Amino acid sequence: MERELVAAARSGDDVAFARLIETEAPRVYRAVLAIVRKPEDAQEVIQDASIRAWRRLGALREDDRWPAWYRRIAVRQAIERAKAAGRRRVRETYIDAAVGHAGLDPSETWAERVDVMRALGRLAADDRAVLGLRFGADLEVPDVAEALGIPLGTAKSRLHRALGRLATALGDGNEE
Amino acid sequence: MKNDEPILTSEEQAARALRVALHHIAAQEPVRVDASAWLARARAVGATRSRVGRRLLPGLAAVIVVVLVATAAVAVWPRWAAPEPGATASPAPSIPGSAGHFDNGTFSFDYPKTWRVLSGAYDEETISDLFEVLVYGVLGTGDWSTGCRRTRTSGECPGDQADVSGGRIVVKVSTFVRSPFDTCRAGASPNVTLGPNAVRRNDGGAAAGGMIVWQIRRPGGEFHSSGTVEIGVWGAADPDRLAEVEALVASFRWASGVYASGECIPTPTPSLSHFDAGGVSFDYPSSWRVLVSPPDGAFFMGYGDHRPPLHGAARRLD
Repeated sequence: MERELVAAARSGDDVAFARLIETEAPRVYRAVLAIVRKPEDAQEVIQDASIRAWRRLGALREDDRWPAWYRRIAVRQAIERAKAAGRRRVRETYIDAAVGHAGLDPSETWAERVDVMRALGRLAADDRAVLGLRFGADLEVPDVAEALGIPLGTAKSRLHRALGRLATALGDGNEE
Repeated sequence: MKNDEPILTSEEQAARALRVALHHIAAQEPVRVDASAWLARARAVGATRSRVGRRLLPGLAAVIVVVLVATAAVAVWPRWAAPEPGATASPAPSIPGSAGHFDNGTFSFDYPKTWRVLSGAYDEETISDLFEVLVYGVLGTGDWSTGCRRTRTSGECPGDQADVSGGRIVVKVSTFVRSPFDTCRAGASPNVTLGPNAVRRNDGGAAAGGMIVWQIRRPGGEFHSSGTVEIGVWGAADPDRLAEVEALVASFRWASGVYASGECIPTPTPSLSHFDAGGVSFDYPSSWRVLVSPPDGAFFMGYGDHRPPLHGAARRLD
């Protein structure tokens, strides 16, 4: 079914492309959220990545590689955005301010989410990417590797190290 | 007391906390992907075109088409007939303005005189009626070509190819005419100021040799909307080239009288009207109209043809 949609989208079927994005974007959004950490930035990355995918769909050579191809575009955009933000030393609005602003629950559960997102902020963008794909997008490690364009062994070791750093960052945060 | 909870390592706890956090935040603020909105717009575009086509007399339509094409060619795309990049027998492409200065009557900017004009204006319509980019010009010192030049027959748009090796640069100046993602994203704020221009820089495409984009919104308008000018650059990783682009963006000026139009204009603070009836009183935006006002004191008001649709209801409790 997905292959048919990709083929249709390649031939100019907007409906098919919309369906593809609608299916894949929510999953990728969670991975992007881990990388850029702000929902509005993640929204923007998804939209930009989808536009890029739409424009470059002709460059996708194998229809069954669509999900990995789209994820890779989005994750690359997110990593670049995160790195650029770091280089420019943009004052960050933390996730608690950004989302709390929307009037969402200020509960203890929410505070835990904020701690996690702050801990993520202490990790490199590449670490956040591998964690986001694994635990946000819920991808198996081979799919994480494909989305990042790295060998499976590299993905495994990077995931292991990133998880260790996250655990340390969370521990440090709890001690503050 | 029996505890069935497995003992988790700190890594396992971190993984679980991360998964819960990401899913929770995404559920609270989900990604905005609205296929039905795309489809509605696609149908609207198609319906508008077919409706217009049916209603106009063929002769009148021909006259209008000629006038429109001539007007567009003179006023908007003065170099519509610019040659395909790389076409050896064609004259060199040009853009409105003079060497080192672009001016199409809507906006202007300066650029280094060492840059060549790689392409004049063209309409980049990729595959679908829903997506269209108007390119004002492509400048720089590198090599560039595009596969997205009215390619509806080929059905493919492989995208731009730019070679900026050796410290060269390619700059593409364009705007969205239509986009399936052309949603008003009020709140997207500038993230860099160059000269008098508060603009939005997006490095998202820089990976794998992609482009960095500076968005310049129309006065009174939003980023990401139709009419916003995009300065897309390949080669800006080179500090010298980056300085050139930043100087270009700093010199960018809209012509007087150019303002944002359409649906992406920020909503002004509404003027208020006052409701006072049946023992209930409150203020509400003057743009709202009372939709139903039954005699029992219940009433509804709102506006349904604006985004986001909003309706309110109130009832006096006796």
